[in-house]
Amino acid sequence: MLKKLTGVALAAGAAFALGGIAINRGEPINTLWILAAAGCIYTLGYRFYAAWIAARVLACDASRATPAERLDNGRDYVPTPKWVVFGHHFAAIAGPGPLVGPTLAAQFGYLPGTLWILIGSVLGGCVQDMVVLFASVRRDGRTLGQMARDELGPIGGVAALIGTLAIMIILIAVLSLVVVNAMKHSPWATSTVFATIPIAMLVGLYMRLIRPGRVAEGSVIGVALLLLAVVGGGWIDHQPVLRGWFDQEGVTLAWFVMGYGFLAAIMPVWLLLAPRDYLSTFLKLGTVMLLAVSILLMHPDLKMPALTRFVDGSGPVFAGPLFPFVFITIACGAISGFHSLIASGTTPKLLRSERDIRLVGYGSMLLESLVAVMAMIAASLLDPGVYFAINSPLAALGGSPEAVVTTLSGLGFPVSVAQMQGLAHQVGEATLFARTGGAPSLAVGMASILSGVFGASLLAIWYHFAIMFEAVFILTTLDAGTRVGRFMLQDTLGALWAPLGRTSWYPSVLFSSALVVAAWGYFLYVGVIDPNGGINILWPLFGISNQMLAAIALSVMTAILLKGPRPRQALITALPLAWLAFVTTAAAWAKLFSANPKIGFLAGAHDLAARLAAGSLPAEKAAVAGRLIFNQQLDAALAAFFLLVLWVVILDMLRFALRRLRGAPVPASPETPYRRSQLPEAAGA
Amino acid sequence: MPDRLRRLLQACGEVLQGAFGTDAYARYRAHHASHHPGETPKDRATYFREQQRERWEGINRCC
Repeated sequence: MLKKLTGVALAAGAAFALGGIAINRGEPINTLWILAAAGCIYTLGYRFYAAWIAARVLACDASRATPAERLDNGRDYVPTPKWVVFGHHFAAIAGPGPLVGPTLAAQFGYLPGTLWILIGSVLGGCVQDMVVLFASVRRDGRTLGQMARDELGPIGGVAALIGTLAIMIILIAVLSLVVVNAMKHSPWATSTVFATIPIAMLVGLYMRLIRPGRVAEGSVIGVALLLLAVVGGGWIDHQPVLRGWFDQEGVTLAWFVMGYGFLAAIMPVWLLLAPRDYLSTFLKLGTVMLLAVSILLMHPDLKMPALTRFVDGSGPVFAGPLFPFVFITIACGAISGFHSLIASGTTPKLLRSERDIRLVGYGSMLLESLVAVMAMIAASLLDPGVYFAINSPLAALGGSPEAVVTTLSGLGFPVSVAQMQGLAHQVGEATLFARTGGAPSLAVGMASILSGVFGASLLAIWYHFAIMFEAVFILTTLDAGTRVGRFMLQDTLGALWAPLGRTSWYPSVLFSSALVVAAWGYFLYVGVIDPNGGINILWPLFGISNQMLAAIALSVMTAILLKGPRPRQALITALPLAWLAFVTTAAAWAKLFSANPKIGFLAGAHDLAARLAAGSLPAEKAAVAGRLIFNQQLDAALAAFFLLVLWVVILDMLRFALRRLRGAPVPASPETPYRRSQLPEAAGA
Repeated sequence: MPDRLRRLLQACGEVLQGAFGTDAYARYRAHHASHHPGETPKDRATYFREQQRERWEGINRCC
């Protein structure tokens, strides 16, 4: 009874907060409304929907021994308390994705993105993570790829493998482009980001040689050094000679990032990868908490309108209308296919009881969703004119700062060159025009929140702290991703020639690492030389690939639920799957066949070729036009390929679903048989 | 109430331990004590070296 009453109260709270947001059009909305709506919706989702799924659909059984108990080996299979697993899982799923996507999607206004983050996570992303985690726990911790093969057959297995490799390449390319854009001609940001590399190595040496295994000590020292590097970057920025060293073109920085990725993939993990990851985890948790508390304390008004005129697809940040592009621009934070790899990776091998699946699977994703909401808030509290001036490529709005402010002011987003210069000066940058990729605008937003709490004199420090925080995050994804890509490639190549599959044979390590770096390096390079900024091409491609992976995961889960006693309950994954298939197909279709050269890859390539032939391209663009044309065609091929994989898996699942619903025999689901748990925690169940 | 607060703080500590994996060695020792009594467990440095290598063999970080 009490539970029902709180449910009604929460629903009323959510309705009231959202209603407040909806009715108060025209006057500024305070962030507290957004946070209140988020809190109510999350609590409703967790207390009711997730609880119902755990009890009725999945029938989580606390008395059932988990793989951690049955296969306990003290290494990867270890029964672990739920909050420890929660921390482990959240640290693994939370990356830079939910920070970038909402920042870009803010061009539609704050409302569409926020609603998608809230509803998409509660009904889609959290359910996916939780069901995948459950399925893997019931199968001795098998991975998504293995489950796809078991449940759907070889087609599903191959699709999952290809999907994972493809998403990894696109993901690394787009994230490294975000870092390069944040460092371009910014000696402060560049020197700080570069300093993170030797700092990580020092920490690695400390944890390896000086105080082996003392992770917390090493991390605290490392974070202190990182903060010093932020301040030191400001000092370098004022030294004429040193400044010149770190004042680099995008292309140079892109080569540095590629070189770094290659070295990180072949170096011993303890020296660079592992310590960088500890530092990144430290910063991640610390900054997210700091930001949350600061937003609560400051509770600023949002200056971005609820909806902007760019819902029609004419937006300068990236081209494409609200539908379907908001749903692929925000992937992480609402639903992220990549999570299904984590939820079927190390986490299922740690769970002590099936009772913890709701907290770890559903709960971690709710927290990630909240991070995305905060990124949306940070973007929406900037003056809209400033937001668009930072995030739009110059070429999209006239080619020069003066043209940009004129165009934006004409569109109803007033901003002036003096205002932008003043802001750039305050944060210690030469310019903030056309700093695409989302990191600089998020950093300005974060800096303004944090300096509101800690004093305005530190704005430049907070800005570069935010840039460093994002860069550390991204470089961690970059080197971990390159390494995983290398393993997957070696696994595949090993089938062709066995020695290539040996992960410790050095020639194979060098060869496969170089191949992976070349793959993402290509997209990074083209993104950097593209006068339109590259993000507007790569980010949609990333969104499509991530949603494709989510659709694969949801297809496998739907097949598993269909094999269960109550096939109708497969709707909990089938409905998000249907929605994802719909929006991803619509988006990929638009990227392929839209006649608008800003949206369609093929139309874009065609338009460039026509203008090149007519000689109407500006000289800088004509010089790279050949490569841009090829790239657009390649992107079109990739989008078509993702679409194909998506539908092959879905049709495979539907074929299977039809058999099941007609009552025809289907292969059994290879679930590990029940065994009673002997752990004391299970005694009460 | 103090009991709830204590539990909350303990949960926060556990979240941090999980995020960093700082509890791994203690957990290994507990496992070793219950499953392999009488054998000598690895020391912290050896365990850490091996665990760190394994930790990076698969996908453990997301976007």
